Amino acid sequence: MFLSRVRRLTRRSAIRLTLRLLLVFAAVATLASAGTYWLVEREITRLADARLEALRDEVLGAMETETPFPEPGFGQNVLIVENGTARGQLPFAVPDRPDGVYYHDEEGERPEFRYLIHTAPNGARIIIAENVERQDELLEILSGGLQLALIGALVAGAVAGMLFSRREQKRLDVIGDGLAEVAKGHLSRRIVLPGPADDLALLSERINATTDRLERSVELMRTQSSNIAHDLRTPLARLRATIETSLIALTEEARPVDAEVLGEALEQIDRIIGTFNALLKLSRLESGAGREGFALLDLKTLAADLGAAFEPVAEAAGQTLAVTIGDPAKVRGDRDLLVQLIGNLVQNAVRHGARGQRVTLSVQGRVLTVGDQGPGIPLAERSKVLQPLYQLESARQGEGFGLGLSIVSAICDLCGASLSLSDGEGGRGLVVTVRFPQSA
Amino acid sequence: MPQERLETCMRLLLLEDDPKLGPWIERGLCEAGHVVDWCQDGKEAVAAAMAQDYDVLVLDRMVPGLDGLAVLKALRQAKVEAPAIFLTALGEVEDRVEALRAGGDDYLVKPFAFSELLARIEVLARRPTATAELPLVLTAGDITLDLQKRTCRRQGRDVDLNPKEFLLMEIFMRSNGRVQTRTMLLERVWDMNFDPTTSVVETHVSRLRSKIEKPFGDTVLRTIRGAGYVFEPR
Repeated sequence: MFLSRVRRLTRRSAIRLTLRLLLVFAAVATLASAGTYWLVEREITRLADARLEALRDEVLGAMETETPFPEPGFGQNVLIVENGTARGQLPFAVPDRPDGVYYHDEEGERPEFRYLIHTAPNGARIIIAENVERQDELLEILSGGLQLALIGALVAGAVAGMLFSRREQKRLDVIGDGLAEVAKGHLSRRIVLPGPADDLALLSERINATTDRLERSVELMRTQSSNIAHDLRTPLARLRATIETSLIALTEEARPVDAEVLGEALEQIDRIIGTFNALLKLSRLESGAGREGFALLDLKTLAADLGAAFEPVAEAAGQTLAVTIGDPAKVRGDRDLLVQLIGNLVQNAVRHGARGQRVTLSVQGRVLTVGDQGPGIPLAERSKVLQPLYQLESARQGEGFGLGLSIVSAICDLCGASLSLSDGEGGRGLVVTVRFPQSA
Repeated sequence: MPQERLETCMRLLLLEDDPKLGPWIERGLCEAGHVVDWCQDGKEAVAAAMAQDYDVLVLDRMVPGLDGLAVLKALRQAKVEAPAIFLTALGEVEDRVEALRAGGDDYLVKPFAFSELLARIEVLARRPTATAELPLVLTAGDITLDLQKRTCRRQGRDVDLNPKEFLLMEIFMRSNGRVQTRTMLLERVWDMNFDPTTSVVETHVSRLRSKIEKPFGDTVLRTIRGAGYVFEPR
């Protein structure tokens, strides 16, 4: 239980970072303390040894000149053994050792004395000892202080690190929980991050923007797929009905299948194929394909050709098509795509207008406009009609906008042209304006 | 009519692996009076096309082994110059460009109308000799089309046609009783390479009718629903 909690804690990045920093800090601080202690201890020993050696030199000098021996300093004792006689005394028994400097300690206690053994040229043994208990005490104080500083710093660092990391961890958890919700499919979920405007805040802002975009495209996809289903189901249902009726007539009444009925079925199938092809074309246009066929084209000629092609179409619908051609202008694009663009716009204008209306197709420089006197499109719906298969509520029963305007919009995007929808003269009808960019 | 059919009898190579579509195309082409060799495998197709001359090659792009594109590349390298039309379920612009670059002459996307395929094959078969022996005056029944003077006469009366109508008429006069599909007419008369759900063809044909049929009180163009038109001169 406890172990699993610890394991869970150590899996959090902020806490892991804190622990790692503490570990590094502890290692460095321990090394530094040990080094300091070692340097100080060496210096103290060196000083003690220097004092012992100075006294030894004085004793040797006195022996040579046969002057009285110097007085040992505070805490110092001198023992000289010459020809079996001893002068002076030591507070402890000195073992028989070769010349050198040693510590004296009793049974694992801290060393009490530092002593020097020296054999004089005349064979006399000089032993000088100094009480080093005070220096040891100093070292002990130093070591205690260093340890206290080390532990204090570590504890303080750990506490502060935990506190800071807990705060950061909480903010990370907010982001993590938000993303988990989004992953579950709650695309409307947004991250509200407390705290300063730092990199985490920026991160959550970006995540929110991404989710936003995702939500919108999923929403778009949903409406589009239901629109597509509608647009494919209707002709499929008609097709099914046509064939079923025919089959029943054939099997139950032995009535031969009518060529007219089969032709109708073929038309339904062609409509379905047409919708499929348009969808494929749209997705390809949206992926940016088609630019390789771009060339400089004369917008004027294109518009005139299409005007001539569609003039009887308008006439058959009891409408008129007025083509106005201004200055010639070259635009960059693919001929097939521009033909489709103009064709779709004129076709839409004819389809949505009533008998007796006037459809206009005009080219002024690099600006192409197609206008009708139909019901128009309400302002609120204008951006939506560019979506594939979107249909105005009022148009649901009829042909709808289908894919025509979406393809126009995709072609405009590909050519870098701007597309705008506006009211016609006197607020009636719809005017579609396509502005092509400078071609040079 | 049968006499004419015999003259236009072609030897065709069909590469199509689909067990349902292959026989369907083969039967249709045979019924149209052509001789068809059907293979389901690319290597077989290459061998067949090397062994004898075909008027037109009909190649499916995606078949197991050697695909249609590779078949045509191999054949073009071996100096087999017969015109080729690709059948494909891929309808992308680049695929079309790739097919034409490989030496293909036409491209038809599945699903297609059989009349469309037949019409395109016949156009391809005519192509090499098209410029050589084009008659300048076409006559069919009581209709005469003078390509040089750009005039159309029926029963000795002048019929005034605008350039697009004239072009439509010319295509019908050359059609030899075959179905002319909407898509083909759009391509050849208006240079539109997409299928708009428009009535451009219908309305222009209807205008043509009002000039070539109405004053004479009969019909020479028969509408085949879901397919196109057949020109039947009297």
